[in-house]
Amino acid sequence: MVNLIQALGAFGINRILSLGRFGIFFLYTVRGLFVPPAKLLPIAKQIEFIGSKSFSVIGFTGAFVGMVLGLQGYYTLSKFGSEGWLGSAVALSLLRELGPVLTALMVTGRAGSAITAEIGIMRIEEQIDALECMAIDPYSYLITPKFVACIVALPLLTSFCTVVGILGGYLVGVELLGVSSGAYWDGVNTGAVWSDVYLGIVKSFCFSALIIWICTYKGFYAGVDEGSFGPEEVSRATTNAVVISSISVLICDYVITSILI
Amino acid sequence: MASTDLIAIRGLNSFYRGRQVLFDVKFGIPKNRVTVIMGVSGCGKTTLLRHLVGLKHTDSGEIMIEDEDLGGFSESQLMAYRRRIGVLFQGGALFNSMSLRENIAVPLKVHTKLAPETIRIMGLMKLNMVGLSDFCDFMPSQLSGGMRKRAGLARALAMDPEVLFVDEPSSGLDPITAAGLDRMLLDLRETLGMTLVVVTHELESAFKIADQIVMMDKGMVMAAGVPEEVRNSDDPRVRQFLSREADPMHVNMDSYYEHILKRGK
Amino acid sequence: MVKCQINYPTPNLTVMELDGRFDRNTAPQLRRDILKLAREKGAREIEINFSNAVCTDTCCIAVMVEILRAVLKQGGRLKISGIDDNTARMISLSQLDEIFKNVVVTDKK
Repeated sequence: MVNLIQALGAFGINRILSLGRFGIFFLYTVRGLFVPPAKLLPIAKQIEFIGSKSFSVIGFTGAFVGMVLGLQGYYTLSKFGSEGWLGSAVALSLLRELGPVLTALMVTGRAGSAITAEIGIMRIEEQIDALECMAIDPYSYLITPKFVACIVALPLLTSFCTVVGILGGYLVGVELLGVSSGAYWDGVNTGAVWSDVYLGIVKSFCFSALIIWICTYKGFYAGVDEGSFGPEEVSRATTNAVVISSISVLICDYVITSILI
Repeated sequence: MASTDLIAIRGLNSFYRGRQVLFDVKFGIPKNRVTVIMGVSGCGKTTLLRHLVGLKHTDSGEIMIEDEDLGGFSESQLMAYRRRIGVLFQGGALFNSMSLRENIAVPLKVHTKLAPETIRIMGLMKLNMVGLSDFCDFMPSQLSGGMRKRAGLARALAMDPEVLFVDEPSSGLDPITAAGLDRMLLDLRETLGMTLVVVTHELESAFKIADQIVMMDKGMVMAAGVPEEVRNSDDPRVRQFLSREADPMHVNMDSYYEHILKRGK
Repeated sequence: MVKCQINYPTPNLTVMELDGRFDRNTAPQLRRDILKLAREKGAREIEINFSNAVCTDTCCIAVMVEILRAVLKQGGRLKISGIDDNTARMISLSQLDEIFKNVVVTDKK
């Protein structure tokens, strides 16, 4: 019994400690913005890695989600004879929900996992220690460029995803199923107002900070709690990072929607 | 001797996950000398090194760097201290995503305003010192372990440090390369007046390069002094290490029995 | 700071006298100045006198290499004089004696 309480207490304390560390990690990363070295080139490189290399993945995701929405929307709406609303149905679901969420999930899977693995390997191979011993702030040198890059890239990818999705919906709805083109675009125009776009933008900013925060943190502390620095720690950190980021994105999505709707 | 000590360690105790790994370690590291920290694996050598470069927090005891306690350093003081040191880690700790030359350029790019061309030449010079100038455009993954280690040394030297900490320089190297490395460490001391702290378990190379030897066992300093003193020490553990005798079973039998019996439950 | 005094004893000879600490903080400025001079005009002789300068790290050797390259490219000649033993040892530790063989003049000091 005592053991159980002890274990429970230890568990609680450890959770709180790591939560605190998680917060401090963020503060150091933000501080990294204002400490040398110059970060323009590294940020550009990371934007290339997180952003432009995700284009095809996001394009495919957007296109097929838009097409499915067009298909599903058409059959649902046609039951009420209101196929004309297809445009706004597709645009609204993409702008408000699917665009930001799916982009965040895809970027987590493609870039987030790679970032965790990269930083995790640097941790277990003492490269981060080496950076510290060279009097280089590892946050500023490693983490901050990735943070900035993700916050820049993800909203752009989200808007790309949404646009491609709306075109996908058009392809299915108008070209295949015969909704009139004018009705579709009119639906997009009238259905989606600024507040919808705004909601999507807010979401994608929050998601971008969330996933890069979790992914870099998990990599940075790979094996530190366990006290062992083997390759299996990197794989565990990567799995954790992807799972936790994805779940956090979904939870955060609900919270933001409930606040802003 | 004491007045020329660059680093003085006093009563250092260190804990790792609730287990004490260093017990009341005290010795001094004199300036412009090669101090070799020797001992069997697991005796706390690497932990001690991590303390000396400020990677591990000092729990109790003092590490005095020119009369200032490392444990009480502010962040900027620690950064200033680290600009004066170079560290070679066991595996080399090169950055995987960069070629050797870019690796060496990292500290120079961050800390100096030197022109890229100057940095390039300096990188080549450092790589040449460790015999790797032909490999400057190779990625670390394309090199053998020994080469990576030498490249790590080149990077540690990039900023011309006053103090160089080296963790196991010759492990994983063939005897010829290892001898060359020893020669180079001595050259560095003589030419650039560097202070070296070398952690090793290689007897031969230790006695070749050391001005001072610190022998450790189970987290304690067994003997410290000039090589001759250590060689003539009466301490049975030191004698055993020097004559390379196999360790008599010193397993704690009680805990062994306990483990065996616990399994049966 | 390093001070750099430039004299022209003869039209073809430029003599630079360095004074101060030549380290990685002062090197960038000095490098720019000397390289500008070395690239300026056609073939001629440049002499750099280190008698009053202190070289503290390898970047000073690297800058010397750069100057040498620039001078040779112009078809000129470089002479480096007055370097101390320490710098000379650094040159030989970097195995650059061959390159500086006809450049470094170790007459005095």
